[in-house]
Amino acid sequence: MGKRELLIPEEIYRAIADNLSRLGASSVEEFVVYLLTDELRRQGILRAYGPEEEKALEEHLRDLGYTD
Amino acid sequence: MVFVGRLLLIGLDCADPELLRELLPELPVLRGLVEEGSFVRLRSIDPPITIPAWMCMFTGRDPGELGVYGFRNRRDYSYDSLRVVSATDFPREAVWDRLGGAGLRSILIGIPGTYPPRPIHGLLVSGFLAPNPSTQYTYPPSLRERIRDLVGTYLFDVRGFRTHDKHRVLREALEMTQRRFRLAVELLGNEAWDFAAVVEIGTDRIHHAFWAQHFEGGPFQDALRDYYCFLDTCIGELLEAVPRGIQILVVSDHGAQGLEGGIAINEWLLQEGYLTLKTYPKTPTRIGDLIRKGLVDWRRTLAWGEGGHYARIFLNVKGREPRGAVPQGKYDTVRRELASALEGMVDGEGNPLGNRVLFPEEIYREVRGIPPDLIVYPGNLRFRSLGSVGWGKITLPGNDTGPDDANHSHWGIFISSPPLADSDLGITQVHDIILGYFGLEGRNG
Repeated sequence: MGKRELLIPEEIYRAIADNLSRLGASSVEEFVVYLLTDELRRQGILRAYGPEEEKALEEHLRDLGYTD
Repeated sequence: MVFVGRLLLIGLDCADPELLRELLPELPVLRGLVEEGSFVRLRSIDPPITIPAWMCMFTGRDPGELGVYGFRNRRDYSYDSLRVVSATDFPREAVWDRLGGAGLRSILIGIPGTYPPRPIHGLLVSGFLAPNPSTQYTYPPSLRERIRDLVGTYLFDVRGFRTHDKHRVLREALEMTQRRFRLAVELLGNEAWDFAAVVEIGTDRIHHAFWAQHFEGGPFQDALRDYYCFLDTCIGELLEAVPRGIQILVVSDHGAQGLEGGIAINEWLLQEGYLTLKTYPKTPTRIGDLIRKGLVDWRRTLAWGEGGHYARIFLNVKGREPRGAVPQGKYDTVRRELASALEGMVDGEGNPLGNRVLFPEEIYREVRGIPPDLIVYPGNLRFRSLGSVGWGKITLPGNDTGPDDANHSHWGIFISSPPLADSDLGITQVHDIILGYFGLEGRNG
């Protein structure tokens, strides 16, 4: 997957960098990417599952009896 | 002032209070927790299903408030909009979010509804809705490589579960449980944490596969008992890895009961004139396939149903569904009549099935998202709901997706050591109990 550079305010960067342990992240970039991904998924812009993953999961859920 | 103790929650999906009481004499670790603490029942939510039950426990919210009514939710009012639920569908209000805000660290392993993983203050290993071990199923991402080093391939679930090969199901369930607890021992024994939750899904799989033989005998009559004994050993090893004197909870999201058969809900709707097909299938066909193939005559269809451990009934409402047939002014009347007819359903010999029918707005504090119009428990969950059509009859002795021994029941378990409860609890109360332990205010003050 390709990457693009973004600029964020120094204050935000420092707040994340100074709290990496508390945020559970190993880098500022990792944390920011997670947050953005989560928000895009929440808004339905990105899907949590790819089409093939969702198809396989639906079969698994049917297999388990949760769905039909 | 925040209390600085530690709380370990061990979740046993589907663990049933009556079964556990029967097995306790052979489970020294769990018995010890009960003897030093207390064992009460935990009333699940409606529907008593893994998704959303666990997240109701950890958010203190009911399914209506969450807007999550099952493993698949309707995204819109089109006929084919059911999509698998993910972590993104849940608000970021779980206990670990609150604890993280207070600077308290969590380790979460196997909680259904936590894939894809969201950032938390701590470590997160997603539950069984993670597609496979090559996906990014941990937070932080680097944890995935560490897990591979610790336990090899992480097993989310028993694959190919609906099979007559019971040997394989048992073997895979044992292996999965062993790896999950080995991981838990490593992480909880070597990482800093204040709150930890480890949810084992193997109990549910074992119940569905071996429930009948446990009670009625057969070549696998000892499988369920043996699995629990193994699980008890795993729990003992985990307790050895954590400091003594911490608060322990052992909980389940729902219980289990024997399965008597299936109710072909759409066959019944067809028979009663609520559902109309353009062509009746020659072989049993899923309702979703009939919808996708355009074989439902929507102009003459008032309602259709989805199968699973319970039934979800959707009305085909004018101005709401694309080709609605129920006038909005008659919605309440049609729904009440349908509910009454569902409650009066009888089996092939004319005996009442004892169906329970629930109205979402009557059982939830709030109704968000797109709920089913009716929730139906066939035979009060002694039967499954079969959504497929083509059986030519309403009641079936088995299950349409392969062998299944058990269905869910409303009562799960709540063991606390030291004791935190002396009478039965509701599942959403667990949220407040956890927060209260850490000196934080819960939803109910």
